[in-house]
Amino acid sequence: MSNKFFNFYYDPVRQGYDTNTWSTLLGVPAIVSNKLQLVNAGAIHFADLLRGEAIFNVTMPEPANTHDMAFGFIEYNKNAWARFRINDENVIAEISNGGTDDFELCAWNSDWNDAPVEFKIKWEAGMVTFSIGGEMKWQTTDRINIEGDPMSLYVYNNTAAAVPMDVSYIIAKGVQSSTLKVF
Amino acid sequence: MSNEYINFSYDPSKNGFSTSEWHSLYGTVSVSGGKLLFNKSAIIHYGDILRGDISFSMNIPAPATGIDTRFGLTLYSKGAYILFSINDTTLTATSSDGTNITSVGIDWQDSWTDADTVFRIKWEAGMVSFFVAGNLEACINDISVSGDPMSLYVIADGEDETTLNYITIKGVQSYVMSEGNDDSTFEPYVRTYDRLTIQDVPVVSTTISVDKYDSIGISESKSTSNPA
Repeated sequence: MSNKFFNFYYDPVRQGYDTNTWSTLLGVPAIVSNKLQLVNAGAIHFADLLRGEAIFNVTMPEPANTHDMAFGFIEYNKNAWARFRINDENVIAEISNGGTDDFELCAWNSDWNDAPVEFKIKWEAGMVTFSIGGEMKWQTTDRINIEGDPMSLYVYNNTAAAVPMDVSYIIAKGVQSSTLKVF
Repeated sequence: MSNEYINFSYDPSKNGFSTSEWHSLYGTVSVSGGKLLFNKSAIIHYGDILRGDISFSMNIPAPATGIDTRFGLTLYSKGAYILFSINDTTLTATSSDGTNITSVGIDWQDSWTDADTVFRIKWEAGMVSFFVAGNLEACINDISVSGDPMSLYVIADGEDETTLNYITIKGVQSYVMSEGNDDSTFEPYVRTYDRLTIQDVPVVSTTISVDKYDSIGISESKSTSNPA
């Protein structure tokens, strides 16, 4: 474990959508009204992070049939993640080590409909905590399924209808290691 | 929290105004006479700073109707900030965590008008202190003090000229030059002084091992000659 932690943020107002920063997974992520808007689009950040706390400020409609969105930490081809996922009308907090996984359904609050809400994932050794709007929704100590390899920030919306998912900002704090350039 | 601190400075006469370093939010800024000149413009730095002691040397006209000048730190889209703010005739020290806002009024001193004056923000965990020209003018230690990384930020919207002389940044707990600037490359995290330390180590260890072997050689020679 490091005694140096990395703290940084992504703000679309400042950085826009920069393909030096993000690899496009799907479609065309775009800056709309100072937010990163994903409509049938997805992106993964190039920085490799080991543990830490990621806060995604996301605006989306109430989850409904055919909705397919996700954001959090991922090692994409390994299928390892600690993320929030919207699958139809379900809001799911889930973890995977690439082989086995675990998840928890989270109740949707109508206050979050089309409103900017902070979704927080705190990824520690042996524990992951998921919070929405400042309230803890799931805390798992399922050590087997918690990934111990570096992962990257990602945002993804493959909802069939043109339902937007807007990201106002992402804050990463207390990251134990990062490949982000410093200085 | 880190046990190593980052210290650096921004000086327009040295650094100029680089769009690799600063993002222009609106308007234009230019370097004039070695200072950064604002003309109804706003800029935000690409560096992400967590806490520290930041001094802005600014040359500002006296607060008056129509002036909107703010400088300090912000996480722009979250609405989190620690700023000196001049709005019309009022100078305030203000902080926000994105939800909660606290502002403290500061009386403007004539000696600060159109003179290079150091406005200092000392951002600690749970507390931020505001100094002007070396004097403590305000202290905020409530929930409004953000714990998120933020960036250097200057906005000057007044009719009169506002210039930035320099910024010094000391005791920063963590600093990441953000992705998104023009020359981001995502190199492994190795700082300049770390690399120098690694290069120094082989030189030191080579010198020690040569001394050791010389000493052993002399000892064996004495032992062989004694039985005779």
